[in-house]
Amino acid sequence: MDILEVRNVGKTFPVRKNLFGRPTLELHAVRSVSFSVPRGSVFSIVGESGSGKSTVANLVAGVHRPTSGEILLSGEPLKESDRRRACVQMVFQDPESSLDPRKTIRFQIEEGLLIRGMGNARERSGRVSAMLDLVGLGRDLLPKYPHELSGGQKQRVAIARSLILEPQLLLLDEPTSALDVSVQAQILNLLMEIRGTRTLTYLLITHDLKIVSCFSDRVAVMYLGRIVESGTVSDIVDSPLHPYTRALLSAVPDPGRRMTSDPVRGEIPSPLDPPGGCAFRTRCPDASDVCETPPPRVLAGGREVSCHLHSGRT
Amino acid sequence: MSGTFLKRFFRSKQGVMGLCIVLLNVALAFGAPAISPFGFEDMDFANTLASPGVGGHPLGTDDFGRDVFTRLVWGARVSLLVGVIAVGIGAFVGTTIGVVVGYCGGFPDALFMRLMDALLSFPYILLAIAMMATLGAGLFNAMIAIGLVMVPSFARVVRSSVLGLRNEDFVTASRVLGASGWWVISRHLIVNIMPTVIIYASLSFAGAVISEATLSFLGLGIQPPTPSWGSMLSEAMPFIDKAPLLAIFPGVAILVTCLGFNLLGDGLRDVLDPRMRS
Repeated sequence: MDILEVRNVGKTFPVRKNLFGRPTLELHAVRSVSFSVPRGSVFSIVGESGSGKSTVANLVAGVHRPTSGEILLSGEPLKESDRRRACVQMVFQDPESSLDPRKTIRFQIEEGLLIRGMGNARERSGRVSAMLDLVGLGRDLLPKYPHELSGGQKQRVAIARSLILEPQLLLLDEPTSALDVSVQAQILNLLMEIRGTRTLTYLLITHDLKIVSCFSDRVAVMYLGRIVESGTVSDIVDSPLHPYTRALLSAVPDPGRRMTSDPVRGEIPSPLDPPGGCAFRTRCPDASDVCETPPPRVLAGGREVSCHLHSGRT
Repeated sequence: MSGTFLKRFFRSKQGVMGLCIVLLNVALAFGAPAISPFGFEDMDFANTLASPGVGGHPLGTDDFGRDVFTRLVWGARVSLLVGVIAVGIGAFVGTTIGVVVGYCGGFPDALFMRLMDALLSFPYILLAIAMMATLGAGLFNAMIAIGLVMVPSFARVVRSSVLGLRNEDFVTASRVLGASGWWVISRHLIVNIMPTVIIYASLSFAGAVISEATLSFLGLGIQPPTPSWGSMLSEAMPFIDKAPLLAIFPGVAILVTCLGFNLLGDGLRDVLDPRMRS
């Protein structure tokens, strides 16, 4: 069974409210997104900033509640009244702000156990030590404060904190993009090593297609709150169908290949006022009149693409 | 932990200086009966409005011939008590309201903040007078009134820092780990707003002493002839041209005490901030 199933999930945020608290302007951060993540796999969501990929992670973590649709964890719907479950945990983008500057490293790692009142002091201390070993940090860091640690060390602490409750699904919201390039690889390797020692599913949110092609099993490409294309990594990377995916891939610098003209034209449109029909048509090199109508969802051989260009397939 | 806390505190020059001033004040206040050369009500009619040193009065006398030094020392009792208790009430109630409504947001936030705005729109002294009129005159009621008048500004300051903290990733992380609102407030928000509260409290101390002076001047605070710095200041007003020192001495006492509390506050803030260690 899939550990995570997201069914037609949408999320709107009120941007402006009138006097009575009714929203007069809404931001559709996520529109009718569906995907499922098999247990033990690495599923990636890629997209530009503003595509709604982080909102998806927050919805799965229970930080926000979906406006529509439902999220199933191991087949059970994530209900509104549910206290957030230990089985889903999250690693944030910026370890600078994801650790409390006024708490010791010990407290940050131990916090999950303290919140749930698990174990006595000795058992907790043992679990904290085990987590430190797992993420490759020394015990001497325990009485220190976040500002005394390097960026990479802080992200390791954040990983240890998220793993102490033994989650089954770990949400990685751009876990390396705030780190130095030299440290990024270390953190990614650590994450992959950890996955070898336990049954753990990763939902990786990123804009870096290189990371996706190295570590991921399946990938979904998001644009303005919608998934435009999804499939296995080899499908998407080797033979992208959607013009947006193609553009993203050709934007990855490759020393063996000369850059072919500008891959994506212009900026992502404001999510407050997205283009009707296919949202990508304002920047799409292949756009035609038919693109003003909503694109069909085309399913072909385990992959899915939303584009008029491919409506002939099935 | 408390050992290293003290050690770190004593490394901060400002903090130690502030602590010395505050302790000196406290010592004067407690030792008033022993230190003062005269009784605070004793009148020396031969030497009214005397200059410092005349007739054995170290800081001179006021218009009734009462010894200024004696009254300053006794006044320290009232002023310190009012300052500390009133600021304590204001900081405690204001911080509680600010943290809770700031974290909860939504309707309670809107309701409480409009209420606080409404209170802030009154001149604070008018509000204190109105409260005193309801509670009745007296030192204890003055402390409560001044403290309650300070609540809205504490609530505002605290709420705005909570609004910033609420969206920090470490709060989200704590919630994802399963933390309740109470856990987030008690373990993360309180420690992070403490520096703001301490600074604001040390700045408010001066305001509290002045408010007590105003209330005393209007006959609502401490009742004469018991001295407080504020009442001494206001009693000196008519003689400002003939005997300016009469106003200057209590003024300097208020100034130095406020300085002491501000320095102490700065020192405490630095010690409480882990980033200032090392």
